[in-house]
Amino acid sequence: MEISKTLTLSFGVITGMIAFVIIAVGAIIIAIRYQKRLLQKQAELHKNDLQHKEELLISNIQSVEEERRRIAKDIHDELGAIFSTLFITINQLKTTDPQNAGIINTGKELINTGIKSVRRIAHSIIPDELELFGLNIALENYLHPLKTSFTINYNNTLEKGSLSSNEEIALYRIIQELVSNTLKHAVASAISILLDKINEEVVVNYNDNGNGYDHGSALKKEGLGSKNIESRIIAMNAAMNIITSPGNGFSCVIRIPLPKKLK
Amino acid sequence: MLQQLFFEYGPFVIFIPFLLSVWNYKLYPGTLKSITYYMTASVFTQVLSYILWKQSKNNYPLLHIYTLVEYLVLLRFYYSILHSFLPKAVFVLLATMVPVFFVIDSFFLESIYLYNSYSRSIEALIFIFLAMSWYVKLVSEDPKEPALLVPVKFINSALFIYFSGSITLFSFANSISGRIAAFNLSIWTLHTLLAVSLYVLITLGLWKYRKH
Repeated sequence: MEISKTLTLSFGVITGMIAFVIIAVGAIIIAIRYQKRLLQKQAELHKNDLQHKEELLISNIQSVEEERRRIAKDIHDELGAIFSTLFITINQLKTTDPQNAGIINTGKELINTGIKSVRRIAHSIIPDELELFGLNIALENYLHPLKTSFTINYNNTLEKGSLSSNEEIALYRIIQELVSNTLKHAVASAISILLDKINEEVVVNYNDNGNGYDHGSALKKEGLGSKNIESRIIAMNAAMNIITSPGNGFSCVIRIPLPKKLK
Repeated sequence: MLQQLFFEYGPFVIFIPFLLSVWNYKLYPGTLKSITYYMTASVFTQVLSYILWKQSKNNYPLLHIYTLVEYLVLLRFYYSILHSFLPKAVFVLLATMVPVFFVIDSFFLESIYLYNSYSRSIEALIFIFLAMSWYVKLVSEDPKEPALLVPVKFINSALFIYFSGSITLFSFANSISGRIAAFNLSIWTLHTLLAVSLYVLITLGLWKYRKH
């Protein structure tokens, strides 16, 4: 009787030990699987959030460019037409009075200045050659006036159509911003801009021989210009690497993945 | 024969996590330092109880002391990973009332020369509760120290499996001891198997931290 009781108890203990181990292992597996699923969900949400932000950014940049295009067109077409009509109207005035003739000539000169200003303003808002002839010509035209004061080394070996029109606008704006920074802050005498296709990427090398700056501390107080560059880089799914330090000029490499059809 | 060998020498697997935890002691945060203390206390007890057993001396008094030390060291471990999740009062209660009960049990309830069933069972219950609490925390909070997540996952699982598997044995240890030798050996070999899996999983946890 005693032996039978002990046997039952021992069996009970062994069964209990095995059962509890199985339950514990099961609970661990369930908890870890559940946690993995939660982490996957969180990662997915985070990814969707990033994607959404990127889409917003792209749409924001596109709408800004669209608005600029509209303003430039309105200024050029409407104000330009008004000035032209005004010029034709004044041209019809006939006078023998030398004083009035002088006033008419001054008026004509002012109208011509106005027409030039309208073209310049419209062009600075959005260069029409960017849309008509592409990035290369637009950049050449943009850099041409600077050649009187700076040594400009510009070389573009990209085939036409390597970048989409949105990417061309974005890259044009980035280079514009970089050049503007060099002119404003760098005290440089030479600027080098090289555009090339390397493997499956468009690579832009921008260098100046100016003062340079402490990149680490500049990152903390990023200005609007840098933020604009950053937004456009994100929108293009590109990467940018800046190398600069006080007294050593400024160097920047931008890598833009080529559209899939060209790969 | 093989079972006897495993029963006798299996627990010495403990030297692997012990040496690993001592070797990397300086690199460890407080949470893993508790595991080094636990391993040190376990190795010390293991060796001493083996010597006493070989000399045919009763080693249960050592187990009574070890239970108290093990409990406090592991409670420190769980406090470090659960202090933000469980109310502080729970830990205050566990750190004061339970050790007092262990001492009362050793001196007044169960003989110091017998297995301390009550203390071991309560200890196991508490650690099962704390281990499960950590899993609840795992699925309800973002990890605050990602570097510790994997090591703690292994160590907590090790303790959870060990105490879950052993609680039945702890509860009935005195009732089955000395009755049928073959069964006794089988049960305690099963316990050795649990202890070995405990040490292996702790080793893996510590190794994962070392790799990190």
